[in-house]
Amino acid sequence: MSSILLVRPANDAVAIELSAWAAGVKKLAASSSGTSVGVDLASGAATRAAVDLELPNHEATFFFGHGTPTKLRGAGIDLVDAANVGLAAKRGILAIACSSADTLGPAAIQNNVKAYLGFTKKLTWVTGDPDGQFEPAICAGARQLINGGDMRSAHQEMQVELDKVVAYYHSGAGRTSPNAGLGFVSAFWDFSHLAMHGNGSYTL
Amino acid sequence: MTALQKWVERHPNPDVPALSIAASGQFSPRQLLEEVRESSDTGLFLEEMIETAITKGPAKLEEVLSLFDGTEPTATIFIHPFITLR
Repeated sequence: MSSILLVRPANDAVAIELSAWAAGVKKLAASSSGTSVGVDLASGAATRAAVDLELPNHEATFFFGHGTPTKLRGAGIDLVDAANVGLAAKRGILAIACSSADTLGPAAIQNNVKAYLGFTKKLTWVTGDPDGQFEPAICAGARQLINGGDMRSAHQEMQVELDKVVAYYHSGAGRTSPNAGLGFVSAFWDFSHLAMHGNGSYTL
Repeated sequence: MTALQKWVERHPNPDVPALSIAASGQFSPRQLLEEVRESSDTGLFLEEMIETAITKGPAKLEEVLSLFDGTEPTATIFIHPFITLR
């Protein structure tokens, strides 16, 4: 059975919401026959030492929290950066975070990580996802990987689902939502800045 | 003229809060325009998102602005907390 390292620092309101999304992914993995969350570094458990220890031990790392172009961040600390991303060599990384696919993603591939999927710019959504659109779309890649898909199909599935969110707010039922403007531009922004690096054939 | 400038021009009351951005509170259209003029990350980010949707997305400017016309202060997006806000 393939094992996932889940990292979700939940260190502020933004990261807490992402951590809740990660909990849904964990639940899906628990019902999967081929994949499980081997280690869940949630909240205070998401330390640099714990991440360093666990990165080599799982087929993939799913991160839900804050990011910059060069780092995945925890509570005042860098959890994944160029110095330790190579610990995930021969494995995959899915980063539901801002910006990390800009520089950290390519650095990961240079350090022999097989595949990296994330966003090259800020990840944004309507707070609390009141229309129930963003969480399913942004978590679609994780679901695809858990269900046996490869990283390329995870990327494509996220694109398809984010495009549906764009259409929902632009011309669908969400057009009358008070969130239509922010929902539309946020979804298209996320759609435009989703990026995959490395081997698209990578599977868990 | 930018998308935000056009939004301010067409808005019935550009000083009334019309949308909210979590990291920086509620904004009226005119406040957002001032943010852009002062090169605030908040205003620039929203303007960049709108411009991206217009230039690369399925909507024309008028459609995007009409979507924003219906936005109320309860609609919020998170902005990256590491950026500097004025």
